[in-house]
Amino acid sequence: MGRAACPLVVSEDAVPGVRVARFVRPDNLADLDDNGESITATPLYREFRRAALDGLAPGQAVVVNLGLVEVLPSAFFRLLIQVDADVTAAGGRLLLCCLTATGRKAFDIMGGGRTFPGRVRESEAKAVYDAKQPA
Amino acid sequence: MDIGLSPSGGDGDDRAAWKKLCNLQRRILPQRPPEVPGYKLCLAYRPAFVVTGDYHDFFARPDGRTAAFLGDGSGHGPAASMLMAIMRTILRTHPGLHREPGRTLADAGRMFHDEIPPDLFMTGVYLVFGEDGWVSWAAAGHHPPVWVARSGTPAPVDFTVIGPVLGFDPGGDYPTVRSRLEPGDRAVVFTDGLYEARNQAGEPFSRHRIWQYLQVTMDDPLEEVVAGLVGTVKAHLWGAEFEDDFTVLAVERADPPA
Repeated sequence: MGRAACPLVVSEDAVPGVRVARFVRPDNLADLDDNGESITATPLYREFRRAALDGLAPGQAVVVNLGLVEVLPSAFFRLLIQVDADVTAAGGRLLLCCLTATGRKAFDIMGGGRTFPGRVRESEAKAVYDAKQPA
Repeated sequence: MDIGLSPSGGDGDDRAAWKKLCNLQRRILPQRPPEVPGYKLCLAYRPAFVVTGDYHDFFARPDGRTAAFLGDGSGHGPAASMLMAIMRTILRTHPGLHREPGRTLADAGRMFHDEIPPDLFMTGVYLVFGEDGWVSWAAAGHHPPVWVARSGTPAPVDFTVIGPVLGFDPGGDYPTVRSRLEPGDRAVVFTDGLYEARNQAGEPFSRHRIWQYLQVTMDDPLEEVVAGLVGTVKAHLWGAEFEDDFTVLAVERADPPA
């Protein structure tokens, strides 16, 4: 019996209205090769989309934790753009949090602050999370 | 001047076809910068695999000044080279686009958006070389030019002026920045394939090392600086292959005639 593949993205619906998706690996380049096809043809897209969208209710926020991602190439930026569009089309909202210093610089260079105005700090993401917690 | 760097890759029966593609791209990409009064320019580029998704070009503008564009199609190699070809067509066949840099990027980006699949994009910097060392530029999802004074002092880089990548947001806004080079000062533009080049331990060359290199080589001729920078990055790789295309364009304000 073979072992299950190590996940690339894990997610949880800890509280109603907020889903947290976490990238597991620092370098996802090998799973971002699209062979000239759309970014939607990559293994990372399929897994990220599943983690972000499966069972997502309209109005739900998807907080994407990038705290472990060290390599943020343009293909990863394409991935975020695509899944952001998918989540928006599903009536949800994508928020990014916990960019590393390296990731943040790459993100800023690609104009990510304008493309993803929903970027939040970890504390802000947690505030969203806490606000949904029952008193 | 250009630095002759051979492409890598292309094995087996496909090799002849790759070679033709490579040759064609070399014919449509400038192999050396034009002469620009008041400036020295130096260029180097290298495909990661046969052809490059980076795009560099120079334009004689209607106002008599020279402009340069340096861009990076998402991905690399043959697939990304389609993006550079599309952007080249846009910039070369629409002379009316060549206005102030921010507007040029906004208009070119809107046209680019209409021509490409929605998950692809290009980053880039558009520069116009003006009189008395004034250079105006705008950036789209791309590292701004690095400015180094003749003394070796680098100017702080402002990342807040970077607009969105080209092709994603058709309504993107791109601020135009004007900066002045004094005689001997330099500005260097590059694609991420240079500073993200990783050695076998996974360590990128980094922007910080580019900074350091440019600071300590201000007394060297510009073409030696560019060749040395490429050589330094290759040495950093320690036998690993470049994973991405790279392009470097260095500009120096020439000393005024005596």
